Amino acid sequence: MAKASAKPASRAQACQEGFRKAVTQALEDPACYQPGLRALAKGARKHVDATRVHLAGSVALDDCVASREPRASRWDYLVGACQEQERCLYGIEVHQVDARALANKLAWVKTWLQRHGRPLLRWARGKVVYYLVPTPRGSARAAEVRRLAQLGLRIARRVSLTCPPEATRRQA
Amino acid sequence: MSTGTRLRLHVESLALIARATLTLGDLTVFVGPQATGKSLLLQAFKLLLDSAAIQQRFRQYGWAAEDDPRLFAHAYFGEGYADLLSPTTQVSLNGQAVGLATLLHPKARGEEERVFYIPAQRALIFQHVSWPRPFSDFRLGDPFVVRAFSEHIRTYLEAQDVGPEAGVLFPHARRLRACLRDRLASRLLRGTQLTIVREMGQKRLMLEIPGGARLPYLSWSTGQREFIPVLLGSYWLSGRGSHRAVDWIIAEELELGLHPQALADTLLLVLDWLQQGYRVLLSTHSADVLEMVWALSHIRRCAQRDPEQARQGLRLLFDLPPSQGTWLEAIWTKTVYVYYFAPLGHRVAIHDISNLDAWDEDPAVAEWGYLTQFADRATRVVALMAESCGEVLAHGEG
Repeated sequence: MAKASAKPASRAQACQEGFRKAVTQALEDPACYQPGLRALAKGARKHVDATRVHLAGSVALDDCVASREPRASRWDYLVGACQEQERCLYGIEVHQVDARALANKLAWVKTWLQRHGRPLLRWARGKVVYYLVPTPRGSARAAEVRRLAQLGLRIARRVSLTCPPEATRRQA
Repeated sequence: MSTGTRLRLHVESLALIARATLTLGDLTVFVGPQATGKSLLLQAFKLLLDSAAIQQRFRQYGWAAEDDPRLFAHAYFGEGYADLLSPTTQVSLNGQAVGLATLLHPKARGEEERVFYIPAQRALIFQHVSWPRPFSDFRLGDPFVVRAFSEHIRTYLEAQDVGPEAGVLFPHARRLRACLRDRLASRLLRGTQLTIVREMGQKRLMLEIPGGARLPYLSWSTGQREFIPVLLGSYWLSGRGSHRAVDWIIAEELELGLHPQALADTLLLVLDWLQQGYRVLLSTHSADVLEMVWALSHIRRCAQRDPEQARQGLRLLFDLPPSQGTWLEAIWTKTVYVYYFAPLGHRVAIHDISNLDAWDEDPAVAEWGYLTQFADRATRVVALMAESCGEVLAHGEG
């Protein structure tokens, strides 16, 4: 009985531990890793639904690299999640719908992951899903929204974390 | 019928179009404001491919005007278009010029039609008895494509064996692909059956609602009046071996009367035509049609790297369950073009906006021939009001 209940718990633990190690290796600062959604500002946290996954942890990427890249168009957050054998990395940005600004941010985070975040990419087996949580300012014009889609950026007022991510899940 | 092919169409001096060259693919879509010549160009294209069959149809009903271009234009394009064809009108296909004389005096006689045309006026084909009008029932000066479409549907319906009282046309196990049929039956016709009823020897096309009541054409919803002729057109195309020459389908404004969800289901029918090998020309005022083209172009690109992901994209786009939709994969090999008919004073310029790239510098491309312009303006106004008047709307924040 004890053995059966220990298995999922150890899996969740392994999930968190793996993500924590990857974050620490990538950012060279153990404080950048935060359990659950704690790295997210309160206002951002309520836009994330993590009820269907084990949270591996989160990183406030913007804050963590601000001193090293003060002028960059930095990306807000990375969130790790696990479910069964799957591991998923979510990039979440809270911003107004501004395709050009978001294109720069997305390009920055992708480059950062390639240059510094390889441990995170390895942990997620290469797959990252990017979400924009739009703020009320600005106008979500149809063409702007289409621009974001062409960049591979999903838009949601509430990001529902699943692993594998929704709509990329292989169907039988 | 070949796929992945392109046809070069060049026109000069046709209505407001001074000169234009277009590449027509397996699927080609025309967008643009009213009265910019989309329909006239589509009709001219049919005339180009089917001039012999068109002349034959007119002669069959005792009418000919080979020596009078004005009268012919009146009869073919419709009343008010007598001056549409001029001595300077030029059309060419893949570089082969066809002059007015050839259109009016085609060398070949008795050729079968290559272009099946579903006109925007399709709801007008029904008589008050809920049956399509014969070709000869229309006036000279009613557009040929409307008269011909009505005649095709009428002859198709006349040929159906409906038994002594009634016969169900839709849903019918042997017509349309099952997943398409089920989708249209449940979401577009809402469980009603399209039925041919015999009443005192007179055939009528009725919608039978669950419970047994029968609705004649005038009692159908607007969407049903617009969609059912399209459905019957699809039936005509699959009629027994008689239309083998048809390789082009022109469908005008499929969105008429339809809720966007019903339009998405109708677009599945268009993809079925493409899958069967037909080349399709659409004219539209609906951004949803371009949404489909845009999504399909990205799915096609993805298919080269990750076919399974592309399959999933197709299913997601059309809300199909995992067991369905493999037939849609045929669209991966199809060529697609989109043209914007831009009014410029008294002239019209035709722009290729096929890439539909939202990042394109040209707003005609990024905003899809300005189809989304009003929606964008409304969004800007709401944002401006919210910012200026401190009216922050609820966003589900606690």
